[in-house]
Amino acid sequence: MFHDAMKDSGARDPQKTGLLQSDKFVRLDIRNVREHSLNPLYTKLIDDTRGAKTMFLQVNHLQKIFQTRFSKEKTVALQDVSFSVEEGEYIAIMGESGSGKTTLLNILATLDKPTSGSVILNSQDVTKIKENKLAEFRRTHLGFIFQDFNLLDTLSVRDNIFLPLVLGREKVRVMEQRLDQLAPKLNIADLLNKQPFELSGGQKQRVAIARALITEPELVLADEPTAALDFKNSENLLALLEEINETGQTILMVTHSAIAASHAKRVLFIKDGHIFHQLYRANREAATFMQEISMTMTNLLGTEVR
Amino acid sequence: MFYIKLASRNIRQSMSNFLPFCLSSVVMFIMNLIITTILFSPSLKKLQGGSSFAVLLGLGLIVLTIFATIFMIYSYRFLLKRRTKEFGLYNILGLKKRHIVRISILELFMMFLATVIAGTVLGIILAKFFYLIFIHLLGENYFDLQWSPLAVMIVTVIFACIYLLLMIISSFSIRRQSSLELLKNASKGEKEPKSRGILALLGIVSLAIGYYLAVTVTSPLDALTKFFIAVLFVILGTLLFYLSFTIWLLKRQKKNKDYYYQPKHFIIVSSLLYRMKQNAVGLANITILVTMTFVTLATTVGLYSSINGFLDDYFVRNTIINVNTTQQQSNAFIDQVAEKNGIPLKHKIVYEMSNSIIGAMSHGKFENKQKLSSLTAVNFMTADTYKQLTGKSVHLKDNEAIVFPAVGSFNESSVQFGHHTFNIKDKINGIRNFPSISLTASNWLILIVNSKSQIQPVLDAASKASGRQYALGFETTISADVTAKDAKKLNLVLSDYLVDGNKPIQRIDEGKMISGTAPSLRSYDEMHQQFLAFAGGFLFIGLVLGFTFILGTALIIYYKQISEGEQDKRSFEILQEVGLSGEEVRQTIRSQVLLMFFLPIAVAIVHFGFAFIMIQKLISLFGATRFSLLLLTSAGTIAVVAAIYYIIYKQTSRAYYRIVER
Repeated sequence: MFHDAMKDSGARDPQKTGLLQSDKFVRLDIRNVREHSLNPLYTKLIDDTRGAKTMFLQVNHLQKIFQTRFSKEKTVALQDVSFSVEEGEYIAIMGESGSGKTTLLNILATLDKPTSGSVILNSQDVTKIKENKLAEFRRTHLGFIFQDFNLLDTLSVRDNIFLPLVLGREKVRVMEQRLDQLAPKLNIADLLNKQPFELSGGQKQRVAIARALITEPELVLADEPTAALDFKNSENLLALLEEINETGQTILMVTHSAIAASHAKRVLFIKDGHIFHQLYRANREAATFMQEISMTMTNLLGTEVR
Repeated sequence: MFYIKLASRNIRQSMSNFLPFCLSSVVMFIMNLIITTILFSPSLKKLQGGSSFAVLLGLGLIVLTIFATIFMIYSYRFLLKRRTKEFGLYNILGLKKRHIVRISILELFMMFLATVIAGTVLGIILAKFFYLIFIHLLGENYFDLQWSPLAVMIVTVIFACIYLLLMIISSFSIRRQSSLELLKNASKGEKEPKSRGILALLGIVSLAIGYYLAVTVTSPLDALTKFFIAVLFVILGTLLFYLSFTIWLLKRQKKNKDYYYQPKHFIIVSSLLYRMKQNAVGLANITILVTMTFVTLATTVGLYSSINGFLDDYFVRNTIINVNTTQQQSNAFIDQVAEKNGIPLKHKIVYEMSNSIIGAMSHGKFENKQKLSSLTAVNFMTADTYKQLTGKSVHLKDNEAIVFPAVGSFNESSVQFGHHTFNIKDKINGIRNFPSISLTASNWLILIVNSKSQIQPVLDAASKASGRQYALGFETTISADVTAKDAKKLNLVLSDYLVDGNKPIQRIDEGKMISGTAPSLRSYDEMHQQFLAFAGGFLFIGLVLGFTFILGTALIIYYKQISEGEQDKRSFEILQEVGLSGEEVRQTIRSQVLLMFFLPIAVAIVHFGFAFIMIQKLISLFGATRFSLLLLTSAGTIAVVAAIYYIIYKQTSRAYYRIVER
């Protein structure tokens, strides 16, 4: 569908694996959380899940410390973050503002470098990519969906979607072919000749998704994709992302919204620069899953942790 | 009172929005003020040819006023767009539109006052500054740039009108929009401009007309009258060219998919197209200002630098004496006077010519009427005199003539004076020991004919037609090398005599009534001094204007960079996130900026190329017509201005990079 290559991975049935892991996790984690997330057991646990086979995306012991040039004061944005993602997964990273989730996304997106640790995507350490190769890497391996869409006013909708392919010097024929396939799925075929300022928020975000997908990226990174949308548009968009995921596209979303997160297959919770908990959706309805997420948020991020 | 407070607080608080607008307003004011000051300066009246130059300056003032108006509207709309959100908020918080209009009018009024005060003070300081610099540069005081209240008044009135227009624009645009629209306006995108074929065609046509007028100028005086019309056409054409032709071109490039969908073209074409409507005004302004700089500087520098060449062409020897009678009588007279006063005349050259007849020459037909576009002075010379000057003997039939077009050109096969027609046997490019230039502004034609008997009827007819008191006859020119002291003495002695045709030359005695004209004497040194004073004055004006124009250009460019930098900042951020590398971003910015900068200068050079012929004629109005020298000085001027322009470009684009890359 979206990616021929990803059909192979479908055989692995990530949902089933997820369920198994989930059981183990939930059990261990509750204890873990009570003793605070720095517990070495937790780190070990993450390592265990990784051990068996090489994962699609591995994040190892990421640390990011911000230090302003003229002051000695340091801000720790990420303490020690490790997790891994399988191909075809749909992961939401949840946290409140200031939890480090945006820093994490920026590092995954190669827009920022970690102080230490590594991010390995398809056995390539993206933190080691040279500065002058980064743009090309982003263009060919990653797709981005931003909360404020980031469409260029100077370009028509069609050209906005073509943008990453044009930068990659793709042939016009190929670009048009891909768009012809993509546009009906995202319901934007009628919008292609308009200018971005003529579109509604929901339409803009669908265009942004088209721009993210047209390069056939290995990983789509979404940063609060529903933040600027109303409820109905958010719902539609989340359903759309789910559909896209079902075709085999790996998606990693950062959000503070339980509703948004409830559409993912797995939710990682981040606070004070640590990942300290995760939940699997398994086969549950989004609504049910959302309740659990909300509860976890209240319990874990709220009073108990403190 | 409340509104005044609100308005003044607005200006103070969003200085970053108001400052560029104020800056452009003040600079435009100064530019106008300096031209007006020169126009009303007493030194201008003393300059030879000053009155024609005053006409040019007046035209320049009109052009610049049109310009200031366009540019002020352009920058005010930019300001207004940024402020509509603020106005919308006022509206929603409970101020009526009427009140908002009142606030914006008060704001404009305050800026107008600030412009007049700052512009006048800075203008006077700048004028003094120019004055000191150029006196230092030229070594002598050729022009006194005096501050005049009248000039300030005129410019103030002009700007009052412009500000009134801005007030009207602002109240219209505020009243027209609903409060919600006002709120959203700042973030509103723009639709891609439509390409309008008719406008593009109109632009090309008016450019063509302007160019055609410039190229087909036939005489110096013709140039003066056509100059303004040509300038207006070219300005209109330039504006339309940028407005429509560039859009048409960009659209065409966009349609060509294989060209358009390449990283570099993609970003440049789309962003140029997006902004072309705003860009057009700015680019047209820059182009016209740069062209004006070229024209002013090239004309005045050309004039200044051609003085020596001109004098060399005119003065066959360092002193020239004109006596209005036959060669025989003149020569004997001058020899006698010189000998009596003990003045040696070295390397003497004597020749005889008819008095000039001045009229309109078209297609080889001479008419005794004053028509500026084809005004020509004709002098006849006999074959004998020609032989005496050059040593070459020519054999001419009674109806034949050899033509020497000293100023202007002549390509006909015959020349007709009333009933008398001469067939042109030959055309020559110069006569030895004879000036190749005239002191009058018109074209100059010398006809060599067989004998005086053929000329006299023509002269008589011309004399009758012009209703002169004196009959036209022959005059004699005696050139010789004389020391400066002797030349002065000789001039004094000669002024005591009067020459009246073929009657004997008489000395003026008290109580005796005689008529006639005194022999005239011109010396190289004296003329040189005179020319320097006059050309130096023009050079000063030219440098002041050129400098002012460059200042204006720099300002517009800077303004464009700053305002566009703010807009482009976000675009380049997005492009980088989507996968354009930092190096590619820099490359794109560079070529985009480069195009925006060198497009105006390229167009200005084309404009100047067409203006060149006109400039040449205009300069010859003041007496000098050396083509190659003018070409050289023009090229030099363009090179210098281009270099200054490049420095401005470097500096302002740095400001742009700073904003975009931050």
